[in-house]
Amino acid sequence: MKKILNYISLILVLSLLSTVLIGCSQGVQTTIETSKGTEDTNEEVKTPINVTYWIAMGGSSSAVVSSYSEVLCFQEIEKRTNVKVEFKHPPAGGTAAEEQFNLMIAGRDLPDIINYNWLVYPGGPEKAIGDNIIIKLNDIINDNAPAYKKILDDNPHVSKQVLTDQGSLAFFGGLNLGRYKGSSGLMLRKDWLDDLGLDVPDTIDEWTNVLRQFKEKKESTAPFTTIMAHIGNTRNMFNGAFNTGYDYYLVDGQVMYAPIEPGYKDYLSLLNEWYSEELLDPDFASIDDKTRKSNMLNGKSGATYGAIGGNMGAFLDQATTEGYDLVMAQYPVLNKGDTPRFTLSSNELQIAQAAITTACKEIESVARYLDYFYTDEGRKLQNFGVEGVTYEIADGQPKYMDLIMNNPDGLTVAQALSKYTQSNYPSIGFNNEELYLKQYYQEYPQQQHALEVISKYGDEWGKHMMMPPVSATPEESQELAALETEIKTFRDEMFLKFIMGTEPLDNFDQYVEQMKKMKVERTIELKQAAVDRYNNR
Amino acid sequence: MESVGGVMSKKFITSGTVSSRDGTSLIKIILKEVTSNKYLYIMALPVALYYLLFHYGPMYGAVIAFKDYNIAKGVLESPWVGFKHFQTFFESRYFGRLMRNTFFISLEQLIWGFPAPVLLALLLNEVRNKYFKRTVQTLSYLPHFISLVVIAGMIHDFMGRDGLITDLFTLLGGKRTNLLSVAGYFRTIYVSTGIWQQIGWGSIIYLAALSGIDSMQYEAAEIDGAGRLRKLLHITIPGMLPTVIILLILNIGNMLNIGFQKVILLYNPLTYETADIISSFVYRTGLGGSFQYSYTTAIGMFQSTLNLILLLSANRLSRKVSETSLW
Repeated sequence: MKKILNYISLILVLSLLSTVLIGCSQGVQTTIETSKGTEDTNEEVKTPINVTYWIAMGGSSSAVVSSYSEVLCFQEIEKRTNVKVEFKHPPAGGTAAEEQFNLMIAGRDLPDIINYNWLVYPGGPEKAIGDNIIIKLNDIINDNAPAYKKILDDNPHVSKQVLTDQGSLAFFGGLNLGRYKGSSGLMLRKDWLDDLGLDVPDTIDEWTNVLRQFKEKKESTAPFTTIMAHIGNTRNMFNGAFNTGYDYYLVDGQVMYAPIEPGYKDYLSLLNEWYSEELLDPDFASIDDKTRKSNMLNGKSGATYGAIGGNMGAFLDQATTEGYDLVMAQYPVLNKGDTPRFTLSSNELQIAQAAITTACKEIESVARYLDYFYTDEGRKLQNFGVEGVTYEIADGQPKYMDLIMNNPDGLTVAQALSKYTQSNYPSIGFNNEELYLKQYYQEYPQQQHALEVISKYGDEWGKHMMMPPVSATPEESQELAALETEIKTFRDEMFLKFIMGTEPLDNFDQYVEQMKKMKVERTIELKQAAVDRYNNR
Repeated sequence: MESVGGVMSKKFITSGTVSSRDGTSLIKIILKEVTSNKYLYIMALPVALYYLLFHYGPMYGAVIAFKDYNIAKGVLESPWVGFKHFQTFFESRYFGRLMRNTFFISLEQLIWGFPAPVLLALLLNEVRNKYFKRTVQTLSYLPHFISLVVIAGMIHDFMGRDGLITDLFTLLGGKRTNLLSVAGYFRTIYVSTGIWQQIGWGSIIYLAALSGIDSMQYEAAEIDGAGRLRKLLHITIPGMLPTVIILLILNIGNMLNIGFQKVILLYNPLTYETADIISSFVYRTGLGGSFQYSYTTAIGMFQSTLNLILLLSANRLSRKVSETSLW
């Protein structure tokens, strides 16, 4: 017993000692830093302004840095604007960011800046201003954010998306003003197509033929592979050929809900044929994304829907099959020569939206800090980093240097970009810049070709058919949420039953009736009201 | 843990009544009780604090089930709406199916999952070779320490179209398919993988109960000429029965609390028919896009009420039948 006590006291003494030692060393460091600090202030006179900034970290960033204060472009912006930012990051993954956001609002524990998709705040950004969470910026940008103001003034269609129904400006929104507004699409094994002497399919019949040949001659057991989260209700794939979307969309300003449209029945019957012929992955309803990816690599599948970077690039990187090659196909149509309308695009307003909260004391300086992202220098800094370190000017254009493209520490291009810039993750300022995309995709010409293919017909969808960034009122959003869970559950189940043939397609009309009983028309009405308000902005 | 709290409060109340009868001041009696058993109270303090802080403290928040909770307005300021959210849930098209699935998964888990660790403990108790016993124990604990996400990933791999278990299944004459896409198999998969994961860990408490049985009883029985089976039936099983019953009651009280994690990791729209339970529905409603705190709180409250009823009736039943009960 005594021996044990001795040990315990020894451990205690040692741990005490170590805290003292650590305390000392920290003390020394602080003094050094303070002396440095005074030197700086002597030179610049101005004392930096301290602000707190809440923002969820990008997926590739959290792998390489623990805080955005380690990211080169943020460090540089701090220097240039004299605003010292302390970042607060929610844990990565799942709905952790949303949960922490809600806690922050409920507890009124507000930082100076919150970067969030304010459109999903119940009742929209206008409500957030009304709830006294964030401040209205309309007047503030006149004097303190000239660059952001100029962009909004010069681009009425952008400012329409950014302002609320009542005309309030609530945030500094990340913008995509470039040509490229999508980054995924339908891709096929190019080497298989070449072997079989087939062209890249355009029409549904050509697709059926290609998949059939893949199955027969390439022994592919799941010629077209996909997962429920993709084909379910989040992407335009083959539905467009039947003149229908996948979820809510617009036709001449009228909100439509695809799953109850007549065209959707034809779309389902195509998928049903493909399923029974085993052209569609028989397990698409239950596999995860990992399986889909390995299907594309191990020859089980010859076509899928996926991202240019994360899928096409990764497949080309990882493929071990001799001659493995991929090609992006255009959005399919029913008759040769038709123009695809149901394609892919995005709003100019992106999901990164930085708002100044009511807790902020230094509103003007913060506005100036956020505005820097919209200046020409800020734009370069955000997307390319610091000249001479991460990029150099070649032929008048910024070009990433080896630190990004061939990172000496073995980081991938995406990781290096996240460590030094904010180009490959939704950020305020400018997103998906053409010059960044072209260089990011430069390793494989297939990717550059893919980018052109999927962007070719994006405009019609993006400008006229896709749902604009509307916001529902608090009452609307509550009612919608309650109705939509049930409708989605029913829709997803029936979608699979129709495709797998457990429910005959003759029952489509009854299915639509049931949807109507579940008040699907009410959800359309609510969406329409929001769209009408949006159009009146 | 819960039983500790129960025992404590009971003791406290008893001493209180004694005091008033004797006419001595209540405070004095309490002080005497506390000082004479101070170590016990100090040891119980963290547990009591834990329950106060994390279980009783947040309970006031449950009022949002009767309100339209708005994060900006806060719990107190949000408007009252009465039973609106309960009504929405009861009128939901899926109410019946959710209840049925929740109930059947719970029941199957109880019927198959509860006796499994008891059996394992009994079997291990009969094993004479120490090394063999230790090995089996360690190996059967292992899955308990693997994260559920990884477990679900393994299940996906094993039960996929070309998974190991699917191979076995086909060998026995089944049709080759992804087992997780068949609604009829979901519960079986859910319950059997649950047993595989928890059997070793669950058996620990029974092994402890078994080691508490007086070895003299066995010796006496041997002298009386009892064989292995007799000893098992008349000494081992009665010896561990109180523990089994207490755990059974607690299990019944938690019966409907099936975690949503494993369900949402394993189900897909094809198996909603048998797999969608109250908590997975709450998850989809509450976290799938918008946060409907009030609605989901109402559903959670409904589920807790059912649990309480189950717990009380199981306790009463067991008191009648076996004289062992929680209070």
